[in-house]
Amino acid sequence: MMNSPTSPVVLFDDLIVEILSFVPVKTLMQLKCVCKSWNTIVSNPSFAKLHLQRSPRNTHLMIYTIDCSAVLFPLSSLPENLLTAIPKYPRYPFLDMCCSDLVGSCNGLICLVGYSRPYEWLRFWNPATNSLSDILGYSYGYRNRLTFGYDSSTDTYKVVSLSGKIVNVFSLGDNVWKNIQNFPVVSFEQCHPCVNAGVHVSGTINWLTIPNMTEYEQKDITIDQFVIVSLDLSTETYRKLLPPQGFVEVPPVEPAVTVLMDCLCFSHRFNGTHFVLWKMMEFGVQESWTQFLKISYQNLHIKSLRNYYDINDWLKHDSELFLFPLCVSESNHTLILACKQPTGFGEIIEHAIVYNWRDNRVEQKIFGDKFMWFCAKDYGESLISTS
Amino acid sequence: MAAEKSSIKIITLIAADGSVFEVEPNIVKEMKTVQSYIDELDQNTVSIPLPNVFGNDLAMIIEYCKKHASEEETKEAKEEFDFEFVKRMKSDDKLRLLQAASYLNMESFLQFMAKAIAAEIENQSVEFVRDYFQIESDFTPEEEAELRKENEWAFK
Repeated sequence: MMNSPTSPVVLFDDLIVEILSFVPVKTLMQLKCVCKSWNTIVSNPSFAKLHLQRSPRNTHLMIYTIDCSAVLFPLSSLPENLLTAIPKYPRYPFLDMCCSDLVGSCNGLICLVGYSRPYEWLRFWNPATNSLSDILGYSYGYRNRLTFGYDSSTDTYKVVSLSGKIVNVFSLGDNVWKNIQNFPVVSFEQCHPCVNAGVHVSGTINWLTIPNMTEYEQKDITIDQFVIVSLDLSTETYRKLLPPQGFVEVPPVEPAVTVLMDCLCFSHRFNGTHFVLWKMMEFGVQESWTQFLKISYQNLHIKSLRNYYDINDWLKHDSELFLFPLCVSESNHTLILACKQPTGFGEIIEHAIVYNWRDNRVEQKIFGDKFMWFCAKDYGESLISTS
Repeated sequence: MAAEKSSIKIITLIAADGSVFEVEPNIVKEMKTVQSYIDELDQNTVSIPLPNVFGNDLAMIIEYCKKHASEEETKEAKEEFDFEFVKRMKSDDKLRLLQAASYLNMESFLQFMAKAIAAEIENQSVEFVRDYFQIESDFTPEEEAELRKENEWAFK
């Protein structure tokens, strides 16, 4: 018998699944209490995948504070003064989780690392479901350049460490570190530990490399030396990608390989006048590099703090000022950048710039010495389990 | 093959309460259940009974399909229409339309209705949601208390 328009509508579970796949995580955690079948649906790993697929991605930025806490804030509605608003956002002390550093964020999972020298361990945390894995991958020694990623071919979350040429991979599930084929080139000393430390996109980890260089020295580098080494997480093999063809001069500071809007990006200083950001529209396809933004330093309100310099002259040679793109909010036309700048008194100050590319305008600069902007990660909620 | 299909000019849909709707072929493309029925026939006119869909609901679905199939309407106009379309509906209408979308195998309309219902239950209490879907809890009071305690933080 079918319902008449006045009788109550009773839905089968397949339609309940359709509805719940569009409900935010926090509401879902409450709605587990509706009845047994809803609890079963929400706890099911394949439902978590469907929900992830239908959830908006990278909706938040997770910033890391000097007292080892994470602060999460939504990108869709940035307040006019983010600095004064930050204390109102949820704050998560890592020490409560026996960890001290943020490794990365992937599909709503956060990977953390903890140390008690000479030991080191990992933990996986889902802030939206309030769940935390056990202490895993406990090992002796110090692991460098950790990157967190996902291998969809085996549905496995992985952490990759790169130290010199040694590469180790930790798989969540097996919970062991495994040594893989050596890195094909020697990696150079980055200008900041969170810059060019490896980024995850489309099941690969990518590093900017300059073969035969251990330090970044503008005068010793030629443009064709820049190579992006990409590790495929499913086959554990490397391939080389080239930077965009429009990248034609060696800048005084290293370019940066990042991931924005789920695309591999490449950014660099150009001619002492502009900051240029390229986007690889289709991962692995060289021809798909597209110039996404070209912003003049004037529009970014960057001026030499040693005010006796002419800005362009200064930026042609300066090797201290560094801009690092953190995240993009496409609906707001904004890009958030981390900026590291010398003060002229031998100090370096770090701050963030919120730049609106439609209006060509800096919306705000966020100073304050509590935040490690370069280590910020973008984040979107999910139900993905931490085990 | 293609020439034969395009010869179908008008499709008659008959709802559960007997009300009759005449629509053009491009309107039913999104209704896979109807489309596969048409594909099997070799006639100029077809008449299809839909015993699981009420006239009022079918009228709304056709209105939605017409708007979305139109090439003259802008994306903004369609979005505006979607917004108003959902706004004038009661909860029960939404649930019935979701069921109809499932029966007619209309993928994007089904997701559209699912999203509209999801928006209504977002940030609502367990009691509200039970009432909304006419669900009786099958947990014992102890089981429910335990589950609420486990997810206590989510209720704040």
